Amino acid sequence: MHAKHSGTHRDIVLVPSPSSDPDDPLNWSPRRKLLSTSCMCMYTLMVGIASAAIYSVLIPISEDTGLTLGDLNAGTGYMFLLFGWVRADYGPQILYHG
Amino acid sequence: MMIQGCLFWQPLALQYGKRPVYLFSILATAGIMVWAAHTNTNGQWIANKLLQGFFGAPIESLCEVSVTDIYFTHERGQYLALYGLFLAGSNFFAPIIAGFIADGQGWKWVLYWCAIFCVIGFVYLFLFMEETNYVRTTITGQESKNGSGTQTPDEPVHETAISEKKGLAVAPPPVSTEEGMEHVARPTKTYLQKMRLFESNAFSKPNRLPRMVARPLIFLSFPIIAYSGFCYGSNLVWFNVLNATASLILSGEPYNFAASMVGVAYVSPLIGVFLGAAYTGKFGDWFMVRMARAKGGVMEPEHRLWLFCASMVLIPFGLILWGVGAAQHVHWFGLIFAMCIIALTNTIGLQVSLAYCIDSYRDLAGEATITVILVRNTMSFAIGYGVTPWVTNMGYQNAFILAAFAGLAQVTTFLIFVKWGKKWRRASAEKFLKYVKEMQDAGIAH
Repeated sequence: MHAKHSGTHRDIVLVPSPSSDPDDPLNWSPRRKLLSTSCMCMYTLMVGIASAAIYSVLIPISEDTGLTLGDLNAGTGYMFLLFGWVRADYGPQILYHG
Repeated sequence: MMIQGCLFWQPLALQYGKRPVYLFSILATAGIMVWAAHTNTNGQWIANKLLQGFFGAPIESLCEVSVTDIYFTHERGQYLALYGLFLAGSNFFAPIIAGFIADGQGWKWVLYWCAIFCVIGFVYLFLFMEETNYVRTTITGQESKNGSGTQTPDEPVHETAISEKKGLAVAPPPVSTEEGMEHVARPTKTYLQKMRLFESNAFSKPNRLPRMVARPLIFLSFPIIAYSGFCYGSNLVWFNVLNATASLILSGEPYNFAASMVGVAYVSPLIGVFLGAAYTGKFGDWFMVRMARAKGGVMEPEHRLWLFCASMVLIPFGLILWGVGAAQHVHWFGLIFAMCIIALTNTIGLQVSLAYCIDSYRDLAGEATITVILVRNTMSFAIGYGVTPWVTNMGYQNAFILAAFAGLAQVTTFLIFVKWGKKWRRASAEKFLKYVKEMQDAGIAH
């Protein structure tokens, strides 16, 4: 059987089968893969924080701008509609105002 | 109305490159956060949030595909878990730190700090993120099915011919070797080549964008993909129900939590997310390899579904502890513990469903993920609308006892797919290969 095997576990056949191009992302060195993964995590963390940070400060925002809590939450509802993403923690806000 | 951001960005990212989409998305988010600090009318606020949702949408579906771009099936569980950890973690963590920033510097600084974080992220991504789109000529499952790698003879021959003709060592012709990985040559890309915004072949691929938008809808006809969406959605619903009632229960009698303490209570689901990630990631990958060894060395996507065994106990337990506990006014720690358990089961649901879909149809992963998310959202909305009046009218106790049984029934459906999933996957093989072929021709297969 012609198949590519994992370097450390010889009994594991690699799926998907990597090509022999060193720049094939599946063939990257562990360090290069880790760097790539850290970028993905960095993106998730920063954009995730930006989307969720306002929830504990909705009241000060509301007091300062005169927008009602309902307005603020409705905005969030729209945001998640476009995220394509009824995220776990804020589902209910869409449920009330979306 | 439900224009889904991921139906827009994902095709663009697969066609033209993930690096430019990530960079653009995070930078646009930074700008939107600065603007948000200066909104003072309802219209501005809505517009601001609409744009934030639109530009931030890659966070939902693109990251999973980035993981599958660089890791093999047997390694993927733990990196998908890591992604889930960062996604859920950032969501629970952000409101907690935001409270402290608002106390110290005012609420506008919460938004400014978000913008600063995004810019830091942008610089990091700009310097270190490589493109992971790659046109590969091997299709999952084909090699083993035919006993040899003869399925894709065209490419290698072609490649060799070119390098001989031009006398260039473009790329060594693929050789079937038992060692595989160890004989791979040094990377050939320079740092500057890695940092290019677009790969050299990004615009030479034929434009397949309309099909890329259509396919996620067509994929609904694959039982496995539709089920993954159902599974994801049905697990998420219980967490939605928990949240719909959390501030109501915790800040009401007899608990009387202050708003800030309700925020701090969210440390508990954060712990649940960590536990869930450890369970599906580290333990899950170990379990998959062990199952494969026990079953004659073949790893089947259905094996991962056995991880739902824990959910069969934990979902009813968590929901009853939360609902009945609140009705009976148990000690607050009981409720906090229930939040942790429900977040844990939510994490298991998210990761096992996605991994099942991706393991089954790896070559379609990018677009199948969108299908899963569409099903999940539709379910979440459908059930979401009914949930509040239902809980309010029935009372916590009865509503959550019913929820516990409904949750148990939903999760038990995994047994159907353990039994027949493989058969259905086989039945869909022809259709699967047709779409893989279509995507390969488009140069966007994984």
